Amino acid sequence: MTETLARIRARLGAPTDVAALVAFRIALGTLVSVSAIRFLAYGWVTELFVKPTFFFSYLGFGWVKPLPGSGMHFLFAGLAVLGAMFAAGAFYRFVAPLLFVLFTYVQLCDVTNWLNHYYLVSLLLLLCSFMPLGRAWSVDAFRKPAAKLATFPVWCTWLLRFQVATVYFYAGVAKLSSDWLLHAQPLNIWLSARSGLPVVGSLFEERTVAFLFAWGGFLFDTTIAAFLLWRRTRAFAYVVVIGFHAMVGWLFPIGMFPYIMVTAVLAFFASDWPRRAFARLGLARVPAFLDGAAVPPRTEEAKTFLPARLLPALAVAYCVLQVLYPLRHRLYGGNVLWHEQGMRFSWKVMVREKNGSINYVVTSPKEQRTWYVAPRRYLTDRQERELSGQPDLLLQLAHHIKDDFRSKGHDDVEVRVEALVSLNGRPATPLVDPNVDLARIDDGLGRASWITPEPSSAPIHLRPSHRRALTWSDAPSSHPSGS
Amino acid sequence: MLRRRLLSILFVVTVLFSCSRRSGDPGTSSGASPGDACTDDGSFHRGCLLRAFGECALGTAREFQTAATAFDAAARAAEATGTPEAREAARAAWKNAIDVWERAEIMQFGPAAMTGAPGGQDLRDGIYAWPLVGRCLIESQIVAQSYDKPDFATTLVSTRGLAGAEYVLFYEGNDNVCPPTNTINAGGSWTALGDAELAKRKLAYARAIAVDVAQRAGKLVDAWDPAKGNFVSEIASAPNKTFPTQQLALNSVSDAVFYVDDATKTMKVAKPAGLTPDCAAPPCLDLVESPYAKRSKEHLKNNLAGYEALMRGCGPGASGLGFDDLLVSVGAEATAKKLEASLASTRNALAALTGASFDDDLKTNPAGVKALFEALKDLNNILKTEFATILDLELPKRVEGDND
Repeated sequence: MTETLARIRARLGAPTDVAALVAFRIALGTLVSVSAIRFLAYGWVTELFVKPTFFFSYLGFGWVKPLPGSGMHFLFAGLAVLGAMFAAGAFYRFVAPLLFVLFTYVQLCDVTNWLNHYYLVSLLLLLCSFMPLGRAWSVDAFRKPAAKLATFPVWCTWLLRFQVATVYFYAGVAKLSSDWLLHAQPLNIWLSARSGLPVVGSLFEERTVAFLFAWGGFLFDTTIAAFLLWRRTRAFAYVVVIGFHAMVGWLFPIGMFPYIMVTAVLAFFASDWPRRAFARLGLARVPAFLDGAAVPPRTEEAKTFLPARLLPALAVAYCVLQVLYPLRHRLYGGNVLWHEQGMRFSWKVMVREKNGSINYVVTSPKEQRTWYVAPRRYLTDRQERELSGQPDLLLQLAHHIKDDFRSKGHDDVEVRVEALVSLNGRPATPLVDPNVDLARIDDGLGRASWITPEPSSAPIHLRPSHRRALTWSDAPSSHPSGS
Repeated sequence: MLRRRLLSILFVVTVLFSCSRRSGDPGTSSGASPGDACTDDGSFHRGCLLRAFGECALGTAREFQTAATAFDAAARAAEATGTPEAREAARAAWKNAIDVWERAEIMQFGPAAMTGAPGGQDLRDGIYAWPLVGRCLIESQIVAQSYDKPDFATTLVSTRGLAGAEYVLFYEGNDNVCPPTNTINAGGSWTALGDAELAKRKLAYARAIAVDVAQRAGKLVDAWDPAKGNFVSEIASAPNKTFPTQQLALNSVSDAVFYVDDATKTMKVAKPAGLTPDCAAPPCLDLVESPYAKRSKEHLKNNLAGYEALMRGCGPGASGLGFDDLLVSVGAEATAKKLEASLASTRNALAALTGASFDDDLKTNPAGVKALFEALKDLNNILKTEFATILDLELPKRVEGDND
């Protein structure tokens, strides 16, 4: 047993070329930097962190709030700089964890900002914080040649591969549902709405095409990691990855997601791929220059920030967590796309179309009054959109409304919510029991009995709009009277 | 070799898909081109619908321009003669104009939308800025006679437009709402006007507003007019520079339809009825839309008419294309029927309010007003859920996401 562990440790600590991991570092840092600049340039920092007056918190992170004033703008400017420093490998040992903390802090400020791909970036930054990626082909290596490494331990590569493979695999598992595979929803809805695209647009209204996309997406997500791992199929798989994400990025407004995934997948390539790429371009001198003077092999190369004995245990614990945590929704039963318990941190990427109409009903038995409170009284349009399908957010806002009313002298208020929600085009049904006083419910990890069971009906099946013949009376009036 | 074969297959499939478009598809799928007859082959496509929306907005804008021009003339006559008959005529002309505009309120897409929205020229607020109505500001301008200054058209929207005109035409009291410290009260300039001068100035103010509104109505028509700004073609031909995707063009119209939620349901009904926290002791008559002309119920009725024009069709008897046609065409007949039934219920609830004015209903029939609110709520529930989901319509300014 001990021997086996020692062998595994030795194998994971085996030296590997720095080139691929450095390329990964550069790409990830650049993406973080570009992403932060985009937020500043498009005014999203103001939109997401300054304009809202209420922020939804993650369980246990209620203390995390956005910085006041221009703080968030400065923070994003800082992220842009830190991302560049991370890419360049400048002061990496401090920059990498700092970048992880700040980037994660931004994500924790408001649940409605949740994006799977930014969660992935946080995880990658966390992993990189434990890796010595700043000790080769970096500013640090030029600053301190003595600390330079000629190789990195191979566990770095495998840990990153594991992380990316987990994302793809669970994104595929999330599609293992009747809505996705048997009804091609929500793709049928999404693609139909894109029928105005040039050339191929009309095809998108065909259910057959939606099924092709649904099954294609499912097979892609569940198998692509395996094809990327196998050397013989890797190049072709990468072309498929690029094609897949380019298409998804073209069809849907998902921002940096395709870039992040196409970058993350670089972890699967051979450790010397940048050298070979440079060589093919006739620039073999570049890696040689970056390598600098030869570095003698060093026994401590497998060591990083933590004692070698602790590192494997931590890595295993991390991997187990990453494998098990996305499955926690199984403990709640029912359809996670409906009740959303265990939805986040589970790589359920683009698997539902959900819209809700929310009205809070606040009653004061003492005053014998009832008020209808629209979420927009407290939220921005974007926050309201995100709130409408997520029960835990509905609960958080109910508590905020209770506090607000109490602060205005209505100290006995009960807060209920009329939350009608349509999932994948089904008829709208209540998501939350409208008779439950949410002001008395505390959020927690247990199964939420106040969430109603999922609707039993099948999702809608859309047909191509051009197949329906219109009657003469539908012809657009040339002289609309606007009656 | 295998790669080459795969690439060849991919290429052939792509070409076949591209060529497989039905010969009956009118034009390209990217929208209706000018002159594209949407029913030539008995088929339906979104470009036709967008053109219908554009034509509906243009038709309504033209109708409003006619009414606004008549209001302009009547207001000039009222100022010139100062007779009660002329003032009544001006009031009647205002009512005609606002009746049309309340239908157009639902059509705040394209040029009528706010700057920043696709094609938005912010033309709405200059015509009707409600709920932005600054009575004290208007009263200050009456004293200062600012309405006759060249920069009147650039003063705050809360002092102009049809809402401002309602106050100066219909409010006959000689009091003002400015605080005692305001110069018109502290300096005594308001009291010094006297009733006759005050009435005269109010008519002059109404004329200034009417002139301005008529000009703005002309701008709105020009923006839509195929011979001028031609926004009808702009929206129908999406994707283009204004609307990068056809879906964005549809979204801009659906965003406008949601006026019946925030404005009609909440601001016009729920707030004055004390169903929101804005009203401490219901009813709050100061929150009704038309406090002076007592036209709040007519406004609601016309809002619903505008809504119906976009949802069911803009022609007589709701003929023509509307969102319901798109719902039916994609197989969501049930949702289209629900929306239709919900509109009927809302109209019934409104018709059941039999008071002389909405103010009376609020005072004497709160249950009836609540029933109207519930009906509007039901209608908006369908809009926000099934309607938005099935047509993949999204809220404006939505930022990128990957979780749905």
